[in-house]
Amino acid sequence: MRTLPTSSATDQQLVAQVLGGNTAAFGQVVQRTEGLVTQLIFKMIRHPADRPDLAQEVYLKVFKSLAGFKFQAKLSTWVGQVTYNTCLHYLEKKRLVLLDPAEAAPDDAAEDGRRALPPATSDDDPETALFDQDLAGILGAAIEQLPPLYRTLIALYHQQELSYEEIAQITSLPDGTVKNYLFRARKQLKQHLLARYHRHDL
Amino acid sequence: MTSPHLSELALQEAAESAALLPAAQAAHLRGCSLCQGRVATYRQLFGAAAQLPPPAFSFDLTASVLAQLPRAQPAFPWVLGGVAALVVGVVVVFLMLFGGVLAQAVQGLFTVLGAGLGVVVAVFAAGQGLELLARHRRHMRLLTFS
Repeated sequence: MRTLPTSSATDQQLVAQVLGGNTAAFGQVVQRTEGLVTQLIFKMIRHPADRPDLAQEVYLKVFKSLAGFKFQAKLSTWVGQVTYNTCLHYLEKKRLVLLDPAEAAPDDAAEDGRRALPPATSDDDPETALFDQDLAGILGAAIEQLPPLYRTLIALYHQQELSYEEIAQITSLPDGTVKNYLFRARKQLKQHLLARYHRHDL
Repeated sequence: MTSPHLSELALQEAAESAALLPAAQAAHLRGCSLCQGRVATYRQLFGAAAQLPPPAFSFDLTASVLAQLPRAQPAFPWVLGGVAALVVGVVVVFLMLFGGVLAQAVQGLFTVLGAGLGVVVAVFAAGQGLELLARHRRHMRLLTFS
């Protein structure tokens, strides 16, 4: 008799159920990891029409190679790794780059003497709420202008709240490289935002 | 304030957690409004990044994935296997009982087929020969100068 997948099932239990022929349990795997998979695909792949097929491809690969998963990492981290590699393969096929060195070079010229973002005030201040919406829009656009690898790292660290180690496992980059790229990405974002806001001096 | 301002890396670390800073830099930060402002900028940036709405597909990814999964392999088809074994058994028994007769019939069939094939080839060759002869005569007539 098959057991129904529950949200409390551990990674091991879930994988065992899928390998036992319970495809409904794989739905649970998808639900647990789709936030990370979607985030990776949206940040790495600029062409919206290709994203759904890539998501399907990722989960098909996960399903087929689930028997080879040895629990050396969290299931979500492993699925993230499959997603990252699938997107990387797609970019290679399309002859696109994940990180153009020229694009990634930090610009130190615009470092000092810039204006600061307005200071955060109380949540119930309507002007602050309006500003937050404004900031979210501008920040979203600024992230989109970053090289794909930088915006991926920003999303994984700040939105998915993954650790440096988990990001390193997903991207197969050394920890130090992840930290360095993340540092540069944040710096570029700050410079972009400072260039947009001129309301408050430091 | 004689100590240098915090580096960009230190500003980012302070924005994540002031505890990450070495004591000297932490002391500088406490007394430097410029660095405090820069750290606040990063804090606001990190906070806003965390609050950005996550991307989502416009369709139900789970349902779509489950619909595309390869079908589970069916259990071994015992019924079909039994039927196949039965058919093989009938064929074997038939061959054991009527194998000799069948072999003779097949041999006779091969003789008839061989003879028929020979006749067809002979008729075809004769037809081709007559056609060549007729074509040769036509050519010879055209070449005759009267």
